[in-house]
Amino acid sequence: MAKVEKKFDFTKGYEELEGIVQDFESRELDLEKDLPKFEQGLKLAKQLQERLKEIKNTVREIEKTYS
Amino acid sequence: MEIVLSVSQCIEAINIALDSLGDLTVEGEVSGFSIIHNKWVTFDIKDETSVLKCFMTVWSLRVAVEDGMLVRITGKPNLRAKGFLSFVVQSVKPSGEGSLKRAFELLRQKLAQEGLFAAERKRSLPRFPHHIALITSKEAAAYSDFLKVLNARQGGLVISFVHTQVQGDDAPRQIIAALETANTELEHLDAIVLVRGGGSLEDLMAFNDEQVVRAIAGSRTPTIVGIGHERDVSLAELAADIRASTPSNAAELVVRTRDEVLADISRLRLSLTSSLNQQVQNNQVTIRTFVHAMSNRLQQATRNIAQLLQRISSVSVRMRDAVATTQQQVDSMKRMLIALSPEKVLARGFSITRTKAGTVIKSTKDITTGDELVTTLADGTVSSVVGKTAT
Repeated sequence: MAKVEKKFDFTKGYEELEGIVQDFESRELDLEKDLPKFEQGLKLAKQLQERLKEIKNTVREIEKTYS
Repeated sequence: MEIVLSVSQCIEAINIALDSLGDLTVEGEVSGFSIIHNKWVTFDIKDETSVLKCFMTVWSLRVAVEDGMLVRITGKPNLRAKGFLSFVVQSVKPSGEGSLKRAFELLRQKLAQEGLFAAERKRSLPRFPHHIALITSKEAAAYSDFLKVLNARQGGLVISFVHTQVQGDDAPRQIIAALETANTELEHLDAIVLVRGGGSLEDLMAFNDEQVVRAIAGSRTPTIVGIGHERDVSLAELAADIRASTPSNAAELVVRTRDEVLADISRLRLSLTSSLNQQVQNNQVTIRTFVHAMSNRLQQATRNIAQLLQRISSVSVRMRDAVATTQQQVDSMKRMLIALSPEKVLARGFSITRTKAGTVIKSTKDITTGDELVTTLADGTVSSVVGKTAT
């Protein structure tokens, strides 16, 4: 099996950030209780931005001869 | 010596001779086309003067065929045990643009009826694909076009490239095998991208091959097919989950640009911060309101106390006045009492006369001659005896 390394899961991170934003927009916040969540949101945004700085894609050639 | 063969041996000998001809490709018009038990296909192929009986398996028939269509068949003639010649067909290709178009249209109708192109079968790609399989020919411009556009848009992706021919007789088999490899051997695969550059309807035959189209429709991983053609769409594109207009467009449909995603993240971030700021502001307003209400209440309470003190002080003034008035009254009554006391009266010269028993004598009738009297004066008493009474 060809393995693909999964480092920071971009999709998961993005969905989590979206979830936090939606949650925050939909209700009254409790500054004390929600502060960790807010910080997690900022952290995710930073990680996502960092991840987008990656320039290169990796091309792996799957060696198969079908003839 | 003369060699005598049995009929079977004779047919076998003829077939060996026919085999030595190798594969033959014959062009002619189809007639009497028929599919038996969905397994075997029989038809005749003819020109103005001659007819050849043909036989093949349904699986080998990769294009749609109907009577009157001009085709090129490849295969071997074979003499049957029953004594007639049958051309065993390995492949059929429509010949000429008219037949190609007709074959395409027939297959399109058939597969559409099966629902292979139905909109409800289409799946969408993950929002952020991480691992994609790229199936195309390494020599094709489609390969570099796709990667160029992809690299410009996003980084950090893993592209598993599977080289296949995208044109020629063996292309369908290779493309099907590549799809199978991608679906079974690649882990965490988000999408399969199948691309090639444009070409004539004949060049694109592999993308109108029935088995290729079925393999795309049956792919476990969502598929994108992008072919840079000018005219008709291929059946492979119709069967794909997502149809791209060109290989470059396929890259555009797989991933959004960094800037688009960055803008989204900034929006989310802003929204997050503003939710919190809003809450901080709300809290400040609430606190201000509280403080205001509390100070109001405090002022109110202070005012009440002041009023109370005021009332207490006015009450105490009135009390003092009342006490003073009463005191005066008491004093004057005291003075009056003092003035009226017996001692004061005696001092002015009056006296009180009592009987010996102590009864105050108020009338001459209270005494008779000889009674002993005691008279009280201011400074003492005098005892006397009654000599005579008169009225």
